[in-house]
Amino acid sequence: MNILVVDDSKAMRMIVMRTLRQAGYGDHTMVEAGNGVEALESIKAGPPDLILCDWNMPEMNGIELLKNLRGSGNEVPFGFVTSEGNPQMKNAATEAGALFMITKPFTVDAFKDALSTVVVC
Amino acid sequence: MNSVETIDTQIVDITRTVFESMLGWNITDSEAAGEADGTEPHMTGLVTVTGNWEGAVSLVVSRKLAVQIAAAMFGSDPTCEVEEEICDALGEMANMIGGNFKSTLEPPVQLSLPSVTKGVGYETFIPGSTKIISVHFEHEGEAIVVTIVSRGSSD
Repeated sequence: MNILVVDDSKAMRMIVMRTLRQAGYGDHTMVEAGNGVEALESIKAGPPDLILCDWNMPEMNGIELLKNLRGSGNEVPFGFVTSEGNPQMKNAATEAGALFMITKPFTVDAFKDALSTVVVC
Repeated sequence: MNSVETIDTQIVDITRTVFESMLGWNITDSEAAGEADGTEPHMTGLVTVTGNWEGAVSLVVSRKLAVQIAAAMFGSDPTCEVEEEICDALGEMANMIGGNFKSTLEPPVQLSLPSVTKGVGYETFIPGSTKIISVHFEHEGEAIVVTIVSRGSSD
């Protein structure tokens, strides 16, 4: 299974991937992108099975990426990993087609809980 | 906006949680920890908030601590200082603290991308703003200062 991790912070991408491994998803292939534009290029090159995406990024933010994907008929499982987890944003994420929102800072258990319905370890 | 006492409690909780969850650090309150003096290199991670509330959240640490933060986040050797990684790590810490603080505000509010400033003897000003609160912490003798400033009449 391919997991695409999208965040403009390289440090955060590393932490997300580390947390995925700690949560038991280390056997999956992890690919990185620094923003929504890079994510779209990566998706064209190799469709992921799951996208974990930050919200606030330059070039193209996470909600724009999600709307772009859903607008083109791409139903890839998509979840946000963001420092901004207020109810309004969660509603917007859900309406746009996100399956979950993990709030930074996060724990391994938060990843397990969010991904358990989406990905098999 | 909440009272200063409430904001103080929120920022203490948010900052401690961010450092503990992301770095495994148990930072302690430190009224005695002063601002970085003008002689030591230090770094500032900053995010701004606009919309229903306007202001900024800054995280100031010594360069020495910023290097340790980056090493902890990247899982790297702290003696190998990669400037881009140090700035990235501090910016992300500021982003998490600011983002969680933003979640306590009445929407609609937007969070900026983080900026990082580094050097010796500098100060950061947001024109037209007033300081709401500065909260001081300490980790292994190094100061950590989180400051909230507000701009405009919406505070």
